[in-house]
Amino acid sequence: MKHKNSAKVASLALAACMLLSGCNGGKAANSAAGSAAQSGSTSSHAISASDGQLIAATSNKVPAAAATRKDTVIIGVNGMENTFNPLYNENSAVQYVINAMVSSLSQNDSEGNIIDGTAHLTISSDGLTYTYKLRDDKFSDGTPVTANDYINYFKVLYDKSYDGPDDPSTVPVVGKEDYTNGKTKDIAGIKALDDKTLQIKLTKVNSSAQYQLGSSEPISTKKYGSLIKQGDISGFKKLSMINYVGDGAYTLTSYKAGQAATLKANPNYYDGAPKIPNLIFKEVAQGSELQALATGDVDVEPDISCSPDNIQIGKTDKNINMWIQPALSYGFIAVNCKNPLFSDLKVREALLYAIDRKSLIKSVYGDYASVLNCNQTKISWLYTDKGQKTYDYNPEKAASLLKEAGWTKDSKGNLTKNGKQFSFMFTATKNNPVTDVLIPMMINAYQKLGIKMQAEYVDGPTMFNKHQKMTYDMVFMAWMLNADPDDSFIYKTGGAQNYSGFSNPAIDKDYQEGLSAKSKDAMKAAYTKVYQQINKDLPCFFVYQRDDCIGFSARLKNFKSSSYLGFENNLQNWQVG
Amino acid sequence: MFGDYDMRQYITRRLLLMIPILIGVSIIVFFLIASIPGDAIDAKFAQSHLTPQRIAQMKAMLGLNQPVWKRYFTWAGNAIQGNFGFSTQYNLPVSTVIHTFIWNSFILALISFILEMAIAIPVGVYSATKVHSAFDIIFTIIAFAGISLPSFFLALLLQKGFSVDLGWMPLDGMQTIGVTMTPVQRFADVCQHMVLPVICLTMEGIGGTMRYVRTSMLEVVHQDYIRTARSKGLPERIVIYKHALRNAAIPIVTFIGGALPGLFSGALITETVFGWPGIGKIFLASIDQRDYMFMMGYVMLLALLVMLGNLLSDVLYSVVDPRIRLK
Repeated sequence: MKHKNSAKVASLALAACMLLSGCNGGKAANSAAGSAAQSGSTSSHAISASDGQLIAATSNKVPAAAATRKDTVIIGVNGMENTFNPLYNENSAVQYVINAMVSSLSQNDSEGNIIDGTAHLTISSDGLTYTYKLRDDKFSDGTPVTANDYINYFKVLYDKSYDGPDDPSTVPVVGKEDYTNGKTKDIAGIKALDDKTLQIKLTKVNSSAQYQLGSSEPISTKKYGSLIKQGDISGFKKLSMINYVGDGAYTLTSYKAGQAATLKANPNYYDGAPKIPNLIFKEVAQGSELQALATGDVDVEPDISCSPDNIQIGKTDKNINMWIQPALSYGFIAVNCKNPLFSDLKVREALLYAIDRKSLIKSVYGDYASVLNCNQTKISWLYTDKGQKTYDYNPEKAASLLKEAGWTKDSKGNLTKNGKQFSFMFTATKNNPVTDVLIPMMINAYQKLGIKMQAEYVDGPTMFNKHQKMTYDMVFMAWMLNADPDDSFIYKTGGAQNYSGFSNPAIDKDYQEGLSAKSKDAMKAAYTKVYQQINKDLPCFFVYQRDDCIGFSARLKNFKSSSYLGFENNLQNWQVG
Repeated sequence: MFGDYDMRQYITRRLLLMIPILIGVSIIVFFLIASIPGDAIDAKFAQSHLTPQRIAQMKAMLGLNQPVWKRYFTWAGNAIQGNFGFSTQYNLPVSTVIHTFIWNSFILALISFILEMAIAIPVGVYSATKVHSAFDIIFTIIAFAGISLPSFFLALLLQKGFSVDLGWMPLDGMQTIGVTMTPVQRFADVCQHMVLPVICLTMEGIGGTMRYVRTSMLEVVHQDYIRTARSKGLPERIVIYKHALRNAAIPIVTFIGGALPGLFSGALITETVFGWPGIGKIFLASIDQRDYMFMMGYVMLLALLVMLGNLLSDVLYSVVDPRIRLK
């Protein structure tokens, strides 16, 4: 998960602190063995008009400031840090830049399926051998990209001294540990069969491997091979990324901290030299996004929140296009299942039935969000609501469930059981548009049931800390998603990010089934069971899935974007006119 | 004056005294910061997939698993040698990060300060000489308006009025992005971007300074020696600007010394609204991200500046007032 720094007036909170930024879009994998890998559709074909909704500009007259910029397009971002090294970045704003600088083996289509990136993937029928056939990409210095350049990526990732945000432990590549421990000079399971063929062997079947392996990017052996020494990759880590030789559409030429990152077109880019010679990612203060677009300060602004106000402004401003696509995330209320109050499923169901989620998201996001009842985004090919309960707002049902669980109102109207009163604390950050509405709603609804809920406000890292140490009762959070459906680290017993204390061995088994699936159908069957069971067991209260809004100027043509394949992967066709 | 042995001794003694104070400040701040829940790794990787083992590994690499007192001595040992560590946010030495941003805040603050003084002093003096006149009342109102208006409100107002609506000024940032310019053009470009933030900062600060000058002058103007000067037949101009002002200048001059740390601390809200890449935002972000090294480095810098500012005030005080002999 990538994350974004946002240091603003009190409100880290917001979607920002929880909706920490987006994950890199390129981690996706193709169907496993059996079914033929989808034929090489390039990124631009993988996005269609139905992947989102366009509120089009009605006029071509753009502010003078923008019109005179004939060879430059400016993209607004917030909170860039100096972390442009693809293996060391977890800042969402910088991820946009990185996606323009380097390309990965695989990409995703609009449903999260794996499609060709710089290579075509074939998986053996036993699910253990992944063969990537590279196409003829070139680095920005004209050198052809070879399989060895991809092996460099793994040599950094698996190195003992690697301390970046990617976790190398999740894909079971043959010989990985031996390389990390220095027992072997090379990674036994990763070989370059020839210049254009990369072969990776796994120790066991893992359906998520295709997503993670597919996100690898090549590191030029010619330029940087000498910096990648086994046991010491500090040379590569400290490398200045200015003029970094990558195989993406653009090359980073300068970075002014707190101001802008400037890139120029890579003439050797596989899909053709980009038509726009210069690209600039400019810092735009949070809250000024639409203004920056309206004054022509920027041409693209990806961080516009889909509030009814913003959508209205976008509609009335004639030269702004608004592209609305489903966000790869979901908002939920984390519940500490180890708290005796919440350990009874009936109680959790009751608490969820008492929240009017539809009204909540309607008031915060208008028509641009919908209620969610399981842990997957609705656009994923794996998503299903089959056999799932909808937990529609029903305060009477909530009351009766609590009664069944043994809770009764005492003489003062407080819900009690065995002399203990039902009272708990909701931890939140300030100025979050969702909790600003949610918390009063919950306090009110629960009060009618006799439950006393109080709210405490802390800053972002403190809230995360409480969540991680499980010293919370309830917090509002969001998980970022990517094409890799394996989120067992959240929901399985003892999962690395299981901060609810939830455990159901049946779900653990279903996840395992999903991971060892050798075909798309098998994966779908397993994850359907996972979603059904999680929907039933309520390890947390799913609230919504919302939309993202990307605003772009009327002067920009050929803008394409989808949730799994962001616009920054499709810059080469942009034109201004 | 500085040739004066007493003065040199005084300054040297004050400088030496700063050392134990700085040490004390560093201890208090370090332990305070360490007591905030969560650390840099928690802040960075809160929502990542990393396993607890990996997180522990990364904390160990930063030395975050060691007891606080040990971490303090590690920091102090490096700090004495001028190494303030690496910022976890930026992956750059703390001194580099500070250096990148602090001068942006400084020029903004310096220009605003000079403007403030240039306007507040004459206005304050004139107000004092013409107490309760129309001039005095109008500027008193302006002063209180400036003091009471919240800075973000003023900033947004200026931005909406002059940039969005009238289009006279750039929206935000320190310079126009995406256009190559000659150094002269670039200088003019930055100046143009400075206009609104400087107006905002000056307006905020001017009220207080004006009142301060006015009060100080009023006090002096009623003194006996001023009456003596007048009765000697000196022109009013000489009476006010030579005799009264020089005495009223004493508190004003010490006020200047106290403003020194303010020049380097960044105006968080104004900088944020105008997208000015200053140090205020960076500092706030570092608290949020638990960037301990940066926080320590910056706080120590500010502490040093506060003490230097006090020293400057005291020295200037003795310069302006010959009656004072520093001990």
